[in-house]
Amino acid sequence: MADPWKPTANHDTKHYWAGCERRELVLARCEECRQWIHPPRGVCPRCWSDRIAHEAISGRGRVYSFVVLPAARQGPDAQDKVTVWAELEEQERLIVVADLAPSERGFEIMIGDRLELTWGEHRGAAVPNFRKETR
Amino acid sequence: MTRPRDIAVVGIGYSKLARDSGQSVGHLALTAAREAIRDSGVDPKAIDGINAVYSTDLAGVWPGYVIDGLRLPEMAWVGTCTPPSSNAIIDAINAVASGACNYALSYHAKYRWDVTSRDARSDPLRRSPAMTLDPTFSKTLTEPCAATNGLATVIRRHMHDYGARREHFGMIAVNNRTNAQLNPRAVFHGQRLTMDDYMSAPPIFEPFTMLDMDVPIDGAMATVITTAERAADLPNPAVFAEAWGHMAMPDSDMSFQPFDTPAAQRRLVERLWAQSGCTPADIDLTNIYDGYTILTLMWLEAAFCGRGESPGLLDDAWDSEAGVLRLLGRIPMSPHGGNLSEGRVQGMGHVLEAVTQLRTKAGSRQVVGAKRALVLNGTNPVLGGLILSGEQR
Repeated sequence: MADPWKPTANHDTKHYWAGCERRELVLARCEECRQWIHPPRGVCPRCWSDRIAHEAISGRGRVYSFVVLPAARQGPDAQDKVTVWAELEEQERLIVVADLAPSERGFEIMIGDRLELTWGEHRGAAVPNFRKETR
Repeated sequence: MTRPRDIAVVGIGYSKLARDSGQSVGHLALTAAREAIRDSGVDPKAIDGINAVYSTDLAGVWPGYVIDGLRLPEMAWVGTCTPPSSNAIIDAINAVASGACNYALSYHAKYRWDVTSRDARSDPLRRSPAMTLDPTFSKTLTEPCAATNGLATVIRRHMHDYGARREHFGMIAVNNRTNAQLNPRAVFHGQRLTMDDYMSAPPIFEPFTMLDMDVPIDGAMATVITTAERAADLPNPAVFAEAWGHMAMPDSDMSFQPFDTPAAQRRLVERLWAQSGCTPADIDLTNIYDGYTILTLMWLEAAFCGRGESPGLLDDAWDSEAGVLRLLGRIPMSPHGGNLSEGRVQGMGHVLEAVTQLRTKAGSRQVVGAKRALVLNGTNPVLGGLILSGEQR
């Protein structure tokens, strides 16, 4: 079997991808002021500290916006694919971008819908997906 | 704000603009630069400053190539900048205003590289050099995602929050296409577009269609900038910069932060009004960036109405029979066709069209009585804007 897909990473983003291997959504977070920082940065944009930790986060949030890749562009028997810009509940405008899990594909999704984290696969590697909250 | 010297655009130049120019990107850059210098009437040996758009996007042409290619003997000022193209012109104005150089050549060369479409990928002469830069690595975080067009999220959010309809985006696409029918240089010259055509276009990244995105082309454009004093000795009419500037603000990473905040656009326009003493009543013509139709809406909300009010502004401006917009009942937008229909040189055409109009050299598409043009260029993270006038104050 072919090796799984390897993301392009740097010193800031490698923690996000390492978290994916453990099926944890890991985001950068300032150790000083506790601000979540995504995309990750080496310096906190709020307090300018460079003490940046990388912590697991719930992955619960709401649909801020979304984009649909139509089935018609993907070939026969394809389904629409949906990528969601999710605003996580921990912090205003903390946005994580990920696909809607396959079971949720379609146009039922709306801005403001509640989301939770699940895990999908991209060429053999675990990647975060969202689905509508089930609770 | 002070203006150390009055500055003028004295030359403009175009390469071929085409889906397939049959030329290299370097050839296009050299052609546009040569034509701009010829148009200016400046002795090539007197050109002593040069800059170009050269980062964060697809590969451009580094100034060293043009300095060498045209044997420009002595460059006292060399610059590069990010898109949009007007940033190069604004930087050149600042360079001449500061005295860093006397005659600045600015250019931007775009190419339909292999990454722009399946069709381009099949052409071995379109393989792009490894140039695409993503210093934040933010795009790499979305590599596994299916539909990563951040601006499509901004469209959806705008429709959700303010009730914009597909027709409003169509008005921009149709206006620019209608205008291109009077611009023989435009790649969509001879190909009209109706609102019905727009509404029936299939989605690419829903809610985007192909008609919401500018058209990738091979093409380069260039300008020559100098002081108004030196411009007086040159053969062609000069066009004067009354206001110019950049603007950038946080929360502007469109691939990750789809917040539909035209705050930076608005702040830049406020500064342009303050620097020039103008209001919309003083503007005869506006060329507004249209890399995507949503970007034009955001600029309209910065310059001509409030946030979320562009649908009403467009409804009032739309002439459905002619297929054109007249903003505030009067102001034509992008008579050359913009990036959507003239071709994608990332806003350079918007500046060159303003110069052409203010020189009253626009032929059948001349805006009668055009004395002052507002050019609004680009998208976040870096914006550029200018107010240009045919008359020196």
